Amino acid sequence: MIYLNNAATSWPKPESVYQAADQALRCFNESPGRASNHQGQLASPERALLEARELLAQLFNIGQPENIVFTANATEALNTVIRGLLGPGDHMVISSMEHNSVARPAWALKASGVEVTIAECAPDGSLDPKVLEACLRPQTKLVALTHASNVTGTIMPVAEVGEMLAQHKPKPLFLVDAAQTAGELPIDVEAANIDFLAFTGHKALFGPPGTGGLYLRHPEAVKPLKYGGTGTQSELTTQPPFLPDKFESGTPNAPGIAALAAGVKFVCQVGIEAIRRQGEELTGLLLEGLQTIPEVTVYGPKDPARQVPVVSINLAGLSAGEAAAWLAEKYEIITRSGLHCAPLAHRTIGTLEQGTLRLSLGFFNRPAEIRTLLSALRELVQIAKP
Amino acid sequence: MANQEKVQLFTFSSTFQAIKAEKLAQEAGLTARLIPMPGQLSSLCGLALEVKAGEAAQAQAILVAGGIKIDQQVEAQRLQGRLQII
Repeated sequence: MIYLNNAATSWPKPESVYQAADQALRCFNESPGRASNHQGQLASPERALLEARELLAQLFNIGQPENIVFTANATEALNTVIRGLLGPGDHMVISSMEHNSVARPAWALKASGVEVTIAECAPDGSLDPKVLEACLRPQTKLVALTHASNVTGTIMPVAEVGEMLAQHKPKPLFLVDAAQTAGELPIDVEAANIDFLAFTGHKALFGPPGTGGLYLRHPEAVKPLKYGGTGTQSELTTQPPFLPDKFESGTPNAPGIAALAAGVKFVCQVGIEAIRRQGEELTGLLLEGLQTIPEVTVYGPKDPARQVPVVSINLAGLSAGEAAAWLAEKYEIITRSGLHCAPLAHRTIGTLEQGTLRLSLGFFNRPAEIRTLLSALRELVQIAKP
Repeated sequence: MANQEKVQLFTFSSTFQAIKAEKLAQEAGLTARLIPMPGQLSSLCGLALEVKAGEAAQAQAILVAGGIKIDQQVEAQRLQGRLQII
């Protein structure tokens, strides 16, 4: 099998991730911070959560590891900020390349008096920061921007937008959706003036599905999405105000987070620059090959330096769904077709009606797999000819 | 007295701080462990860090240097395994 659906979830994972998940499931026999059997053993859920927080803080240049809270996925992290921060009369700006994990919570708040403006991106998915700046109003409380599109891979000017917002009075808070970039591109919350960073664990960080997190520079400004037991201040019926407890009610997915820590450790060991370099090389190989097939339409920047290893295409005479099914059945090449939960992005690039076939590469893909894909596509476009 | 051991207990404002404190103390080679919060010190939930009395000053210095906010620091003793706050 050739797996080219890493933008959905990375596969395979590093061996250390499987081992960490297995060990955690076998050894963890308590809810973190709530048990009497904690004996300082290294394989404890408490230690796993601490290690994961510290590794992620190192990866994203976050000074306070406790300001990273774990969530089930990036969607929960994004909902926490959007729904916990905004109220009637507030204004929010999003880009026209956002995933529904941003668009839907934003739209849901419209009924309660939150106004939402879309900063329009170019047909290749790129965003001019000046276009976004023109959308700002005095009552703009939040700007939400994906770090890279899950449809075209287009890398957004996060640092430039962060710098622009930092100069703006009054300063809107800046939420970055790093679902496609955490573990794929360098992220520095200080350098990019990021107030909230939402990330998933199961893509380029190599953790299991059901893991993710949120960095909050301003936790006091956000109401929790969930309330409940934290193992602290249990005599009170009010939520603890301190981190990470304020946003981590209920038993966490400690085995998943232990495996996520192993994934983040793998990323740190390989090095984010080396991962990025390999991603660019593979994307370059794919784009070069696609350009030699006239029946293929490629969307996005078509430049490995301006995108993560995500490429959307369409084939003349075939729907994206047919192409995906044919690749899977004949060549065992796994891709994804459709709208990828991002209708705004497809409207922007002009594919809302037909969707695209998405090819998303991962760290464990090899050039030979790209060549096999290109051969398969050449065969497929010939078959599709009338 | 036989089976008597003096210890020092540290409490913190959050579980995150307690876990980090234990890690820092153990990495420094101290005999430190987290125990369920004694009822005399705080609420019925939470964790306290127990270190040997002779290592208390060193533990305090390590925790402060590591950015840990210590809530309480109290002397205690273990008599035949049972903890008593002094």
